[in-house]
Amino acid sequence: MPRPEASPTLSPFDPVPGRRLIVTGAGAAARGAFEAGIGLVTTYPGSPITETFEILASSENTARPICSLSLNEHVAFHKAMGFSLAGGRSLITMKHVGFNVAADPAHYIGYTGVKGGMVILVGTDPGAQCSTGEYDFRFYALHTHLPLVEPTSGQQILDCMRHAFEWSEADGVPYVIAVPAGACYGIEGVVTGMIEPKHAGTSFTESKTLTNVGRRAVENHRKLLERLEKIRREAEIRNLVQVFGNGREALIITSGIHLSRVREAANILGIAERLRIFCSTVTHPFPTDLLKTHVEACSRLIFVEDLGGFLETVISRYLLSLTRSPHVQGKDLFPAYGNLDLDMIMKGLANAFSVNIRKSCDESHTETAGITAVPDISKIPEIPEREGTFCPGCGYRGFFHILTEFLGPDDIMGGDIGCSSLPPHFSSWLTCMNSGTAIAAGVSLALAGRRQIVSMIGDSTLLHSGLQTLIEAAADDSDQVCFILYNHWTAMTGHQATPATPRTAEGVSRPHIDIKSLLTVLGVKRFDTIDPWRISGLRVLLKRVLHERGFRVVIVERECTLLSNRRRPASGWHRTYRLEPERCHECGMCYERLSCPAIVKNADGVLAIENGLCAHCGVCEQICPNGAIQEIQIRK
Amino acid sequence: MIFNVVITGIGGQGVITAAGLLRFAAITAGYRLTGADNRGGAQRLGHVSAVIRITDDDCEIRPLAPEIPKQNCDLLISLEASEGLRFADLINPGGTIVMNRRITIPTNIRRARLPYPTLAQCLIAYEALVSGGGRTSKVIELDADGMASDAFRKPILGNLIALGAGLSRSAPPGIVERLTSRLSEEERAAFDLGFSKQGTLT
Repeated sequence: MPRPEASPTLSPFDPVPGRRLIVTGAGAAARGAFEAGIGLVTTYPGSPITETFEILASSENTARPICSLSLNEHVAFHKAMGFSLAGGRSLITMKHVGFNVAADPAHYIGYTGVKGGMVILVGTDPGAQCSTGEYDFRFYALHTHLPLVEPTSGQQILDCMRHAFEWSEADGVPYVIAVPAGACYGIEGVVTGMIEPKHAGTSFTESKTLTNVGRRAVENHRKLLERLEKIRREAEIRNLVQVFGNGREALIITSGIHLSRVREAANILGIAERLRIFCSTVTHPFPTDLLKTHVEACSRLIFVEDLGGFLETVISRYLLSLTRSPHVQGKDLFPAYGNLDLDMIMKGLANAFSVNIRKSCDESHTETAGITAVPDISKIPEIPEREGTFCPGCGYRGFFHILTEFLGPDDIMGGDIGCSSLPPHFSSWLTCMNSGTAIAAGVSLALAGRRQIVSMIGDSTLLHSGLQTLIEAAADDSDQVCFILYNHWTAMTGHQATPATPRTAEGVSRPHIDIKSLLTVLGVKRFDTIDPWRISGLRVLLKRVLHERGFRVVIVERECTLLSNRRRPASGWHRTYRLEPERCHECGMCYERLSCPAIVKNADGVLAIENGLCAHCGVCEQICPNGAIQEIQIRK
Repeated sequence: MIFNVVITGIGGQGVITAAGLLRFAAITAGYRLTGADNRGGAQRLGHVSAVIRITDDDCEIRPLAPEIPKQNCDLLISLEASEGLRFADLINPGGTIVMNRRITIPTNIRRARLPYPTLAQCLIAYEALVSGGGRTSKVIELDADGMASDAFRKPILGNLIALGAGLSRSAPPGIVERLTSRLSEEERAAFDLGFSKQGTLT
């Protein structure tokens, strides 16, 4: 039994260094930023990295940074840049697709440089487990010319985050730290460090480099490339390269979270002695000088990385400069799409080293020696994917139920990011923020009058990037019904407030933008508001607006039920619903088509409402064709 | 020593809470930890799971991936009976499986009117996974939600009952003591209920 240590901690703000903090990767990043004494954190929320901002914003410590929930990543980026130019330490966090929105300023900041330490923390998503789309984010490093850090563990996320602010100040450029979803949600016990005093900003110094135009832009470009060469040489000094093993058969180059997978796979496969592993935490600019002796010592080179193969692309260019190029493998062993996990790395390496994976796995069972029979999993029933769906009481369930009643199979529904994009996907497309109304505007130009076109936009998306689209659509009188799904919050990522959030989570009213006034200012002439819990009203309104032509807006307003239900008193009389089995004809309207999770089928096949799940929206009562669902009062 | 655990279920069943308790206990007892949560379905009644890898090795020398290698999961706790079958290829034939007697049919299956595995089918599958080598079966089947409702009028405590049942059969030294010392009186009672009864051993 191991020796227990000083008591671990769950508080990311624990002032004591040397304690073991049990935390996710996103949380380790928050702790690292806190230790570095950042003065500002900006974000637009996005999984898998939302938690970093949420943790920093939850601090009640006097060292709490300014926590700015921006309208979008482009705004957030500029704000963090400005804070740094005034000498403070700033952090911006966003998901990989958010970086696309911030890509414009990200392509200038290396040229202008920064003053106070600045870190750009990006949550990437190989496998697209929480995103619309996956791509190899790392290629951005090549054309933004920003240094890129890929931490290998939760501890390294913390350590890199703490040090990257110093590196940024020393090198005059912001550092990008990329953390994939698997590491953002990974949980370890990381060791805490000292908390530095806050770097809140000192002064703004005028500088010619900040005007990046013409000859000055070219000069800035030259200097930036020089800086990158300096950073390339720093990797050794900063102790950012790890080499394991001294085998000569193959050199494995990997990065980030894959390091622990490669090392465990090599142990299980029994090939650790045959290879050596080279892993640099800074992957752009890559410390190729340190690679030379290892490349020369090994007969072949294997890149273990996911998606596009950034390392293979960058390092292959370097290999061409060597007198003897080794045999290179990488994307032929590991797919250029999807998430790369331990199992796939095992298979790829077993293939590359001609090892019997089955035999190696059986031998690795030291704990269960003596068990030889391997179960036949081919007989195990396959479990279909379990969709996450609208929560019980979500206004969108009833809204889509009724809207789809009115739409024909040829009609077109533009979909947008956020809770409205949850299954059962009714929309015709779902790509990036603001894709609903904006793409629908183009479709309606081509098909006006021949198809019914409706589009969705959430309230958070409206303020993120939808305003320009609405101004244009109103000006063009785009032939579509635009539904603004107004649930008062950025609900999908955990209820961050937007400027249009009318009440705090506790229910206290707050100053906010009135959406109807906003629409008037944007030039929208026809708009209505509807409560999606009121089914008959919804039907009447939809019948009318779907009959009209031109640009029409409907605000579908109902606060996210998860939040409004939290404010309900815990005890007392509660409204709920009961399903009378003798009146139920099992038509499937509630259980299948509405598919509210609170309506369940008992073991004997009878439908019932599970009181613990029911959020008492009453939509099922309103759509039941036979009056089998009735309101009742229960006392809690 | 490596002890690999998967706790799974659907949003709202307390998967992440149970995993957090186990992780804290492991670190307090001096072990090292890796693993990851899949919280994607939390609050939306989708799939939720937590992978917990506990070791007394030095992770610098013998690092562990965030995922469990095939056939290396020593304890699987399935708070929704079918969800654990997603991890079938990870189960160690000598490991322990806790199956809560509860099936929630996904809404996509309802709409498509497709068949879904029953409790009996799940149980047969789990037994096939851990009956290798002629040892006695190590599937613990229990109605954790029902037990929690009856004893505490709180079905949410089913997660602690299932955790107690699972750790009663196998746990690295020191973990159960560390875990229970942090629980409230009622949580402790729920954990003990699972730990002592172990549901129906099949």
